[in-house]
Amino acid sequence: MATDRSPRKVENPDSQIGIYVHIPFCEKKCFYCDFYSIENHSQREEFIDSISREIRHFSETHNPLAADTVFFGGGTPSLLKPADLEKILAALHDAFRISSDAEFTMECNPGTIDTAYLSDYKTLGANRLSFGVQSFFEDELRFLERIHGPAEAFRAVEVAREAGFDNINIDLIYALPGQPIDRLTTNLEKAVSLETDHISAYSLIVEPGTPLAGAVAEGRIVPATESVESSMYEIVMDFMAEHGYSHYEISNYAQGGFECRHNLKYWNAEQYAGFGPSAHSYVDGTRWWNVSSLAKYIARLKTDEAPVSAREKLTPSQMLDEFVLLHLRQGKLDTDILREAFGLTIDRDMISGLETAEYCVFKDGVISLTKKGFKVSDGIAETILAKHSPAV
Amino acid sequence: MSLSPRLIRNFCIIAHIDHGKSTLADRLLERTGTITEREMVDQILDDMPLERERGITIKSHAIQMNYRAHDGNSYTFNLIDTPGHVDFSYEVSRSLAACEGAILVVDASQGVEAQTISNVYLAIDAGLEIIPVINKIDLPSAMVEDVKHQLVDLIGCKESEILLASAKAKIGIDEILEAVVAMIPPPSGSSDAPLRALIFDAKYDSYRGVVTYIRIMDGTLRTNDKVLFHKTGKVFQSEEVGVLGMERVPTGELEAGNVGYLIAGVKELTETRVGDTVMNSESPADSPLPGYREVKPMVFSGLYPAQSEHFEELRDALAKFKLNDAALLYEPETSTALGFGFRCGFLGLLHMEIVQERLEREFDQTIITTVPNVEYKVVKTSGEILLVDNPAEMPSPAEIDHIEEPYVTAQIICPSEFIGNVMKLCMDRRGVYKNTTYIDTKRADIRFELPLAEIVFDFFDKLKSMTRGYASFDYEYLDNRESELVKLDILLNGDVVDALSSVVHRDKAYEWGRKLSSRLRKLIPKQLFEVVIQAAIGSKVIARESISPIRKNVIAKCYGGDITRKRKLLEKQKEGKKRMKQIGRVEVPQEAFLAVLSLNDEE
Repeated sequence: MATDRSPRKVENPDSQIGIYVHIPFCEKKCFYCDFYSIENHSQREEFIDSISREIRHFSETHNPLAADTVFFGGGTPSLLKPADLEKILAALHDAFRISSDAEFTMECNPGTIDTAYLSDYKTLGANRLSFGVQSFFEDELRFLERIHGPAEAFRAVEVAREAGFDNINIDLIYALPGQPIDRLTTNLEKAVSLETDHISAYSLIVEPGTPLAGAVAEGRIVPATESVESSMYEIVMDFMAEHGYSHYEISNYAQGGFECRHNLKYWNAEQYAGFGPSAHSYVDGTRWWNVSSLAKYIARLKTDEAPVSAREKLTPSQMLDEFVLLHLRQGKLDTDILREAFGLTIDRDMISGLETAEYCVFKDGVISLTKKGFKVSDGIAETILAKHSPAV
Repeated sequence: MSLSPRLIRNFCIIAHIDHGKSTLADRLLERTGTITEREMVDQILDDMPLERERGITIKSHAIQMNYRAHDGNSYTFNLIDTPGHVDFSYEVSRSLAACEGAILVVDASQGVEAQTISNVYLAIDAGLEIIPVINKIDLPSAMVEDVKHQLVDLIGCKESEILLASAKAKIGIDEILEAVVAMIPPPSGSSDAPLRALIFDAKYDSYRGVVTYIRIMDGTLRTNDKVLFHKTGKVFQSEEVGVLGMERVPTGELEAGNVGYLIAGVKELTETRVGDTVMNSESPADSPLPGYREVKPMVFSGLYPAQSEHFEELRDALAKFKLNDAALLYEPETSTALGFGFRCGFLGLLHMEIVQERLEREFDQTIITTVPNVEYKVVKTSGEILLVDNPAEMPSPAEIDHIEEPYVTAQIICPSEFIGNVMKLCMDRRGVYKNTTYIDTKRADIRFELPLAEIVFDFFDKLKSMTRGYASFDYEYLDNRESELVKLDILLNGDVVDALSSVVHRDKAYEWGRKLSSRLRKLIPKQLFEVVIQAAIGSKVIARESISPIRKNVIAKCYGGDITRKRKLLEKQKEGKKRMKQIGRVEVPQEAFLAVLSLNDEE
């Protein structure tokens, strides 16, 4: 059982903070997406001012922190004019000590790539690009309401390489309603043919509040069944392994050394500071998140008010929950750390039950998920935590 | 304070649920000035929240009123409230024994119901004078003439003797009060005779211990008397004696014919049995009052804390509960499926529901209840006789010569168009048809003999739905009869779940096994492991279902903005898992333990 004392720090004490910047604009909002973004770009300049102000506020209330990852997400960061990016970066450099070898990612829409922009991003320090490719089929892209076509995905990666980027990710979405298996395989083959070092492959999630969720509720769209999703997930895992990508998180695969260092901070309970509407931060055991409205965000910062929507100070038990959940998502749970940091000893019978059912392998104190285990990783976290968490 | 018995009237009100007993009681209190209108909380006599919600009186109380009658005399009225339900029929009978008369209230729009009839018979048997009252005459749906005929048939009164009233609209209240004076005889008995007082109720007061409600039949009871409780043989010192107004009013003594209370340093309710006789231990009467009997539980069920660490809390709650409800019996038992809990005996179904609900509400206990069952008399081949109140404890078939189960006489009153439905339901429940009589041209009174076990499962709900809510139902223990009964076990992944074992008739075993496993398949969620559900008689499996393991339970995306949301989801799932019971590796939701109860809905 977990004890009452606070968990010892589980992260590396030397670890540096990660910086996230949320760009809340899209040319067109995709109907499955639940990230905050808007199609009206009229407040772009006020946004740049506001976010600079927010970053300055952070620096006024925190000692200068060393940062080693920067991630521009959205929305569509590739809509940012280089001059705007420069302004935001200037504010960030004032507030943080960003190391020279920091990982600096820009999310890009293959449909809004501008060669000149990419070169300028590179000059400004960006060294990693992440493309929302999703599919190589015209009809699937249309279904997803993407603004690009299959050819543009290839071109985007080519242009990126020409601009000097060698650390590139492409996102794929699978288990679309009615998607045949061979479509998935074709998408995977085309994806690896681009020879990027990182691929994220997500099954389509019906997020509450999205137009997709509405269509599902009305019966206009029938999502893939649990069994189809499960089979497709297995195909993705097999395919990636065959092509030399290591499976380092539920939906993420990388060639050696190209794991996304920024995302790993989320999963390893390291610190991150998020700026822009809806951005989340986690510093000193407290998580907070900004309002999901550009108008409110701008209004708050105009009056020098924090644009924070809510905060939470994690209790030891919540830290434990997140630790187990997020480490299982990475396929490995170190029971020695659980014991040392949280005072929790996992029931051996339960582990051997999971082993017998081939959900995991237990060796040297580490629970390693099998493919079957990855598919039910959340269920395994529930099972472990329901049995071990102290009663509240 | 000496009171002439000539000026005392002891009476109760008999009515079916919702026919207006409580409202009428309120009106009498108001009209006699016992309570002002302003002080009136609706339905004063029902002071437990659950009672008010259900419109039923669970525990009887008594209250004294003073009424200046038209003849110029001031009378003392003792209104003794009676629990209206069959489960408490013994308590009803003791309350009736404390009265000389009863006001029979029948709803003008509903007419005579099953409970009215059984309670009227109890009152007539007790020799009570009956004042028939038709209530709610101001309702547009009132059928005053029809109900008059029913009453004439039922109690043999004259139509002219029936009073018409609306307690709600304050119509006919004076006439009722005058009828109490005129029609109900004053109590007999001599204040000089040796003391004999009937205990008709008792309750536990956390400051004073047990407060006993009594009717003095003979003699006089005074403060400081040494009193003997005849049945238990215990002697106590009378600490306080008085009458029951809105509060207890100490009077120092109570004389023959009066109703009041006695506090005598009694610590446990079990020492003051309802129906027992209080005597003076220095000059005890020759014989106790007639009619005492032990109250026996009829329905049994296991009560378990939802979380095993709350066992001690449940034990404390039951102990406290029993202070106020001597009829509740319980003893610890252990279930391999549910851990430590209690086997509880109840007077009947309503009593069981009330206990469970009040434990949850008033004692804040989350409880898993096993399917209710009756007590079986098992005659073993060795000749040994066992009383089995827990199906899990049924001996193996080879050891059993035969099994007997309790039967009841059931009385169902319903509009005649539903006779067919009622017949079918009773036949399905192994009923033995006795006869049908007609209360009037539209309503039938149907009698069946039914195994009690067949009515503890959802019988009343079924009856109501098959008669569009028009049927009323009452039952009474009849006898024990030999039946072809077998124990049906449920196995999850090969382990017998003792809390799901039931005793069923052999002819129904296959159907039940099939329905129960299919029901459980729907109630048990998919898990990480396959779940096999089997129904078996002894070692013979008669039904099998399986729940395939969950194939995918992970959300694809989890970045900075998702973590809190996902953790909250996880916390919710965890809480859900905690409410489940772990049987082997299978997590079973609490509803599953009551699966049998909803079996008849299964197609």
